[in-house]
Amino acid sequence: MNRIGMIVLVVVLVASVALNFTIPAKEDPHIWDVKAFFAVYGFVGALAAIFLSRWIGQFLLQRDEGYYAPHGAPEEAAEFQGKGEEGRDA
Amino acid sequence: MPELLPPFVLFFAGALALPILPRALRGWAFLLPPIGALWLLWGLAEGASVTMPFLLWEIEPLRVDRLSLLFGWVFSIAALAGGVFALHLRDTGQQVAALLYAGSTLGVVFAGDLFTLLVFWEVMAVTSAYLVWARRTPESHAAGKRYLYVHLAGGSLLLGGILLHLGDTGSLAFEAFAPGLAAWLILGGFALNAAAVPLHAWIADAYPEATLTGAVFMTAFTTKSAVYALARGFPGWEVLVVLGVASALVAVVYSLITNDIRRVLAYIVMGQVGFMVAGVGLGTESALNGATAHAFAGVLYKGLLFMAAGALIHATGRSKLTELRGLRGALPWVLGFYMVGALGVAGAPLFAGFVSKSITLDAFGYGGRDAVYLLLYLASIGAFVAAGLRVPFLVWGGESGESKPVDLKPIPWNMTAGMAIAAGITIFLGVSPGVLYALLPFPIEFEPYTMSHTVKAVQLLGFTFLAFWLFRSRVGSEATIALDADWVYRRPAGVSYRLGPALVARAFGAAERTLYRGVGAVVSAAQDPVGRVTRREAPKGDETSSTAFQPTMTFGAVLVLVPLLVLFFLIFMR
Repeated sequence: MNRIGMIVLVVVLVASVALNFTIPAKEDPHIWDVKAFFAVYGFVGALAAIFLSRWIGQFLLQRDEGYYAPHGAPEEAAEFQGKGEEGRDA
Repeated sequence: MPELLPPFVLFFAGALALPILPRALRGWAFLLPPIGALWLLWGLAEGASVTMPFLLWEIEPLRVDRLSLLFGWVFSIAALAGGVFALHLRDTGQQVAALLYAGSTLGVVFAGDLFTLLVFWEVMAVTSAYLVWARRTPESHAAGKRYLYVHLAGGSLLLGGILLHLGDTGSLAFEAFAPGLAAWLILGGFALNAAAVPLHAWIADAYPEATLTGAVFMTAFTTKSAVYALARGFPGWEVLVVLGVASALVAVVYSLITNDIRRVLAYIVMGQVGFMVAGVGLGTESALNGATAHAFAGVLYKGLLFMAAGALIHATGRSKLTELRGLRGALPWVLGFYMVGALGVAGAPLFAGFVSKSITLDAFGYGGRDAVYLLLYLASIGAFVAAGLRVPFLVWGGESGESKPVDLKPIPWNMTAGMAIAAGITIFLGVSPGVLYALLPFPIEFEPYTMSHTVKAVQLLGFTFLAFWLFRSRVGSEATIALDADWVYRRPAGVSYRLGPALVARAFGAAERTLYRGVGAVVSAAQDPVGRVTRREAPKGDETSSTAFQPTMTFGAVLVLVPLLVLFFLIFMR
């Protein structure tokens, strides 16, 4: 990110938090009516999404691309096919 | 009465006429049914209905109310935009299948009875499966078959439920269901098409293998028509809130670790549909407004994402993020259109997702469902990271790494035009939400552009971006696949191969080897019986040495001499 992008980002972030303080307080506030709640939630939520999915992927879900290859391991399938051809010719 | 023509008729007639037109005109002729449908919808009044007798019952192929009109509009627009995107196509089979698919989707939306619904539901399954097969690769062949089987299973649930419902109530009318076995079966059929956890795996299995244009139609029609059916039949069913939130969160995890760009987008679709399903589950007027508004907007910006991904794959010939890396300044228009779609998903102000998603979320947040509200916002953050940051960062922003430089194929003008239509409407609805709100099923007083909503969205997206930027080195992609619920029916293929043909082949192989060895031993013994016996006495690997030669000669001599002696004995001793 270049300098201008950096400045724009900082201005947007600061402005979004600053403008939050202009919103009048509600009579029956929820937790998300706390000032700058969504700034914190966005930051923490993004980190949670990035790291949790990474760990879940690594430890549980991610497999080699050939995992669902049609006949088990590819070399085994080739071997099987080769034998089949031979048998049929004989 | 032409104004009471069910819109599907136009599409089915178009599908019949298309093959007899000159090849060059077929792409353009494809656009006529959607345009005709838009014209028909313009003239359709709420409350309009067409009924006809069928066997012992009365069926209703056209039932018009605000809910069906809203979906009718957006599906016709999607068919038109998709048709423009596919204008360069010279594949009649795909064009006919897409027309039948779009037509049957409209058939589902305007079906007033369950029998009509079921018939169109099944036609949708078969025609969309063709759009997967039409890619003509071994992977798409297999994925298309799995897709069809899964959807036929869903159709069977629906059929079973409808028959039970008919037996219980004696009515075929498609209205909100009362709880019972029949309703649960029908709910299962609908939830499968809505890609709700745990019946969701087909979406990420089939969409990435479909043709570039086929996937655009698929993402518009199947899941959103299921949202329509759920909104009609199951508003306020609490189980849908649970399923919807679970789908939205599960989809985030997968969309952040998947490597194929259209598989990432398929999970994004699943997550967005989760928002809609949850809204239907809450069932209040504002939640149903939110769910249907989100479906309307979602058809457009998710179609746009699939168009941009299709254009990218068309230009580069690659679909994996690990191979697409480092495009840098290439294809800026595709990046621009992609970002419009991604910001739609993220719910950024000025884009359609913002004006539709806020309704559903506020319905939860201010309806006493705080936890659901916060979880759906978490899913929203994750969807933004996955679709709006990870994919463009890896494709356009990252270093090229090990992947080879890409030779770019030119993108047909009509693909760009299709993206422009979808992007234009996404921004138009974001800027003037009143147009969308006027179509919603219930009267609505909702102002999306309040200071509170806007500040909330900007904070959320801004700080999500900040977190991503600070930890961007941790967001990569690997050349792997991620196991999903389809493991249940895909893994047995490998296991049963090993237990079946592989085991038999191995057993026959062992028997063959044993037999050859045995016969070989007999043959060599018959050819050289002496050698066979005596060779054992010879030192291994040195059979011509004198130590081996000597006993062989002795044994041979004995073998000759003994019969001679016997012979002499017999002759002379008589």
